[in-house]
Amino acid sequence: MTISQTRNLFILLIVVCIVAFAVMSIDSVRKVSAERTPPVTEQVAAGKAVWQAKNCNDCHTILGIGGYFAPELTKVAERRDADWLKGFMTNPQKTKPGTTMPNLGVSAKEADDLVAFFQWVSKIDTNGWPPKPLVSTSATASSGAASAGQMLVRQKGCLSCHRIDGQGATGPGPDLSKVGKRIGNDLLTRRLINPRDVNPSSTMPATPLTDSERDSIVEYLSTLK
Amino acid sequence: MTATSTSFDRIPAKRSIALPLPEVKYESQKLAFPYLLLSTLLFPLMIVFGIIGAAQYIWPTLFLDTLNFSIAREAHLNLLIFWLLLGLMGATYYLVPEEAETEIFSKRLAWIQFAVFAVTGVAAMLVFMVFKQSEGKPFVEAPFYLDVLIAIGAVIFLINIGLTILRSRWTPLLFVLFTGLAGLSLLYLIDLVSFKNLSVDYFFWWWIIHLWVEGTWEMVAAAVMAFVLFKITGVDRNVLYKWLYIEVGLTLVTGIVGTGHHYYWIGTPDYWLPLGAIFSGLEPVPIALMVWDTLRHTPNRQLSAIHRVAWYWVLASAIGHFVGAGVWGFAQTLPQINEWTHGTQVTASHGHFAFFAAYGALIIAAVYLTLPQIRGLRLFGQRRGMWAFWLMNIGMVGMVMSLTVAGVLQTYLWRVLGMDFMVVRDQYLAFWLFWRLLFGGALLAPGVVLFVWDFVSLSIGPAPKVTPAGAPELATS
Repeated sequence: MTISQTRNLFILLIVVCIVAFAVMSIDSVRKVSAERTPPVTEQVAAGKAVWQAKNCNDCHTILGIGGYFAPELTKVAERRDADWLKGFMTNPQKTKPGTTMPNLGVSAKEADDLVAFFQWVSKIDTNGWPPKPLVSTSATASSGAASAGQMLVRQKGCLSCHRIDGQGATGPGPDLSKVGKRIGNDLLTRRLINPRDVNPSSTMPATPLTDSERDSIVEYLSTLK
Repeated sequence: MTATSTSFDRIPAKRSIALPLPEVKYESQKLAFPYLLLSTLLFPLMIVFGIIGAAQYIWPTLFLDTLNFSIAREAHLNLLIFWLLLGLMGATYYLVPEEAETEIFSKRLAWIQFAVFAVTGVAAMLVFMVFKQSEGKPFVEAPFYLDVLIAIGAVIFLINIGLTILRSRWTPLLFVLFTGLAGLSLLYLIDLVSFKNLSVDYFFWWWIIHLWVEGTWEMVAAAVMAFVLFKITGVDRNVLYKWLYIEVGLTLVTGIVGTGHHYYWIGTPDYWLPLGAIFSGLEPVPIALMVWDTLRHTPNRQLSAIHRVAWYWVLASAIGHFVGAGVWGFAQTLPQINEWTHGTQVTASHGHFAFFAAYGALIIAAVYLTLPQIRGLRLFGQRRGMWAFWLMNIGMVGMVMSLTVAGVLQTYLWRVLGMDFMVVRDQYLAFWLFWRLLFGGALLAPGVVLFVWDFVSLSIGPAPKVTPAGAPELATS
């Protein structure tokens, strides 16, 4: 093949690819707007504008795109209720003490818009992404935070003394399968900080935990009812 | 021979080399210099923000109120694009006159274009860091008015290069190069538009990100690579031209529809799953061809000694391009895998490797090939360049391996086991991300500093004397 023949074949192939890609792109954008995403309301559009103005996307991923520094937010509206999200975005430290999310000065209105945006994103038809975890870690733990607490309970060796739903040691610690029914969150937190603070004769060691780890464990234990 | 303070006589004579060509053939090839200089200076700045971001994974409250991770990342990403584009533009200004056999159309336009890009770059950093403004889309966070400036700079560049070629001759290399430059400028215009629907916004955002790095940038880089190979190996141009069409053709055939591998999970129709898988699954083929094509042109011993550093970077680029873009990309491009790895550090490992090898290494090769001739040096030491080469490459491979382990671990614990994102990040990934920081900070970064030092010493060091017989002689006082 001569160089000019090679060039002509090159141009032909590229043009075919570009045309095919353009046709599929037109079809895709039409389907995305009409069928695969809910209608974009003014509030959703305003939420997206805040999302971009605060550059959330360089720490968080959404639809799997962005920074891998902070949690994925595609389905955040299914994990957290609107009030929690709003409280967290306007004042992260107050809602979740010890969090490393900076206070970005999000106003109440902006937070409402962002919540509407997250709710909209969670309804996008993503071909089933993100996938459900293959290993179901607990029947009771439905939210991400609860399963984090459950993993921590396993990692920190709680099950060497306690038993939950038939897993773990039978003693010396009490069975925690229904601990959420018996003990409130404040008391659970105090017991985790210093067990002897609540019961001076307790033999439970004070396991070193960060604030967020303790919160995750309490959140998980409180679901055990 | 007495000792002097020049940088040349500190290098043992046996490590020095004599270049066969005294100076550039066309005066306007020297326009490459400001572009390559700015590119080389922005490279370490990008590393600084990379190190800050990497450190924030280990110490998350570092600079939390002044320069949090999102700012560090946007600076890192934008500097990446800037130093690579400036490097490719510099290489373009060097090769176009020689390939078209004419001077550049307008030197003044080239300087205006340079000023536009330099001002935009500085302004973008100020906007991110001081005014904390962002357009909020990764890689293209610069605000609208700076986007317009960048577009103006790109148009000036296209006019200048286009008119240069038009009034002289089109070679296949120039055809591929110019099409690539025009394509990347056109695609950038999409950034001037924003869509209210996030899925549609991302759909077109990928036209910039993917069709740049796996399309138009590849065309520019392939042309630069062909030119570099021609200069180093002296291979027959017609053979090179034909291969250029074949390789770039295959790259585009697989790469254009291969954009589909970004359309699996963002709300786009499911026909992209098989299309993206098939076409992007074939993307390693042209890259493998490029490696084979490069290796079979291995220069003879004399030539490779003359261009030792440049040649090493060419090899690093070819091999790293195949491993980083081809293998690491293929490893996660099939939907069955990508469903689990999408949005994890696995992507980061691929991104770092591919950008560094396909574009970074190639630009450094071009610097070592062109800078001595722009400066009219017949003699320069290669020891510092080789140290920089090994430090940077070992550092990058170490970083990529650490990120890969972190990514696989993250995929398993977060995605497969369903553990909390932050628990996984802080308790399980920190160890591996610390290794990433260490490889980046202790090997890659010193390598980059050495490279910049080498660049500066080659730029301002005095040209050594040459005896009438052509045998180089070390400068004496």
